[in-house]
Amino acid sequence: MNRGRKRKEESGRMSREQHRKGNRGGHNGKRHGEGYLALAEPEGTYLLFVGSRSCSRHKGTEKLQLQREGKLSFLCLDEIDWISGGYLDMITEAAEEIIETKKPKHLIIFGGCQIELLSTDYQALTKELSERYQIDVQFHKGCHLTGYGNDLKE
Amino acid sequence: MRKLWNILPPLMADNFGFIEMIRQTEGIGIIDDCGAYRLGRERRGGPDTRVCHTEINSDDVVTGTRQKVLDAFEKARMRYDVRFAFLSAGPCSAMIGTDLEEAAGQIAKESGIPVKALKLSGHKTYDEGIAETLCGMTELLCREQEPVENSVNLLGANTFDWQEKMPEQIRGWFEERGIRVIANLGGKEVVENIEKMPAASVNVVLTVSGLKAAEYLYRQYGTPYLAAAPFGERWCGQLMECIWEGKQMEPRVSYDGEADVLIVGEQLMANAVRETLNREYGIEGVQVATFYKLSKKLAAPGDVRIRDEEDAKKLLGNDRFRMIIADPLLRTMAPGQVKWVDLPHKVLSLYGETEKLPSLFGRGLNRWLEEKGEI
Repeated sequence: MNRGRKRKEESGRMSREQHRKGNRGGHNGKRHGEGYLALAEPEGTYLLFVGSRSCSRHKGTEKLQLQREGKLSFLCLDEIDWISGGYLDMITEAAEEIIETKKPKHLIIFGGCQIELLSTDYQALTKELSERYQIDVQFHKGCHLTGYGNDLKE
Repeated sequence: MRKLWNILPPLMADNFGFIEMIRQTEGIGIIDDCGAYRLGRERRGGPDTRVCHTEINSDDVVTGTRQKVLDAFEKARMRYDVRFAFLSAGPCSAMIGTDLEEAAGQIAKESGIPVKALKLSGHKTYDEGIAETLCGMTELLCREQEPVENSVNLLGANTFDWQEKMPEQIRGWFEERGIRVIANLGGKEVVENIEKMPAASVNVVLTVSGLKAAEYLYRQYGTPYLAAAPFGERWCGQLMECIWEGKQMEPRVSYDGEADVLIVGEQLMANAVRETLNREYGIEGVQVATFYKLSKKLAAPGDVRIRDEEDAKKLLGNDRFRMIIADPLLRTMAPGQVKWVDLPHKVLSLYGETEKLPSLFGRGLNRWLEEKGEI
């Protein structure tokens, strides 16, 4: 046990593992998930984050680490893209580009708060891409606004 | 694809610029968003930013966030001595249409403190955040003043474009040269100095983010402005001469064909580097590009704004450049044979550490170019 962890337990403060397991509230009381590093663990997994520049800051260091490792891309949309409905075409185009260039076995699309606010049904998109490219494409629900959870998928 | 960032981090959001401007003042900021904005080492607790967040959640999407904005102000008032306040939106509150102007009016009426809602939403970039906040400070706080001769305001120096120490040193640098500085807007500053800004004989825009405030002060109070970063011996010399003699800067247009030297960075810093290369080292054909604000009136023909990674790859991959001066994150986009000079721009790496720049004031830029660029 390192000295830092020992001091934390002596002080009564929660360790990172305890924090993850406990219900910390904050995000509507839902469990704070294991993070995007865990999502990207299975071999051949690629993540596509869709959201505003602002929303990319949540778990930002994890996202940037995954990008440096060649496992994540950001699709940063502007207000007009959401309002006009153009975001769906752009998400599709981005997913297609990633599948064709990165050749992942699994593509996970996830996003910031606007994705949740607009309540778009991404099942049709992920199904069509999965069938067309014969890979596993999923939409991962959850964000800082509504809460995170590794088990939440569309 | 446009707006897709595979290699580079996405551009820094406007609210980070907002926070950077507020944290060194006697004001506070309230961001109507679901979580804090923190960078680098601040991500696990760090210096106080004087900015509070409404911490909205999915329930607030239905009920509205107005009350949370009002509550956030009251909480902030208990914690800080508040001389003024700004409200900013995040992507969620912008989408659900929270009326921050109405909330600002309500808060100002009840508290007697000047309050303004800024047009930020988490979608624009940090330089817009800085520009809106600085202009907001001038609109909210400046008062008509008797003019003070040989005095300036400094607009736009910040640690994102200039790195750590330079924004706090810039006031002393001007004062050592016999120029009185009324306010250093963008650095650590007090309300009394901001109120007196209209007294200055000229405003000096140090980064392009300071331009909006300068234009407001010109329209409202008739104060002329100069736009130049004080880097490079001869460029600084011209800046000082223009301040003393009430003249305008005369940049050199260094090429009328295709450039073979590219500088990527904040526009006024890049302009100062170009002017120095041109005036003092005889290097012509220098193009400036920026991921951020590009003021057409301060640009040479051919200067471009880089909108996204796709633009960056096309520009930097062009084999007509024999030298590129840019942030090291962009290195992999350029051909191997190009002469590369690292010009770190902190905002590009978002949360990572960047190489520190030395002071570039005056001859500082010359020394840096001679050492790093072997020029």
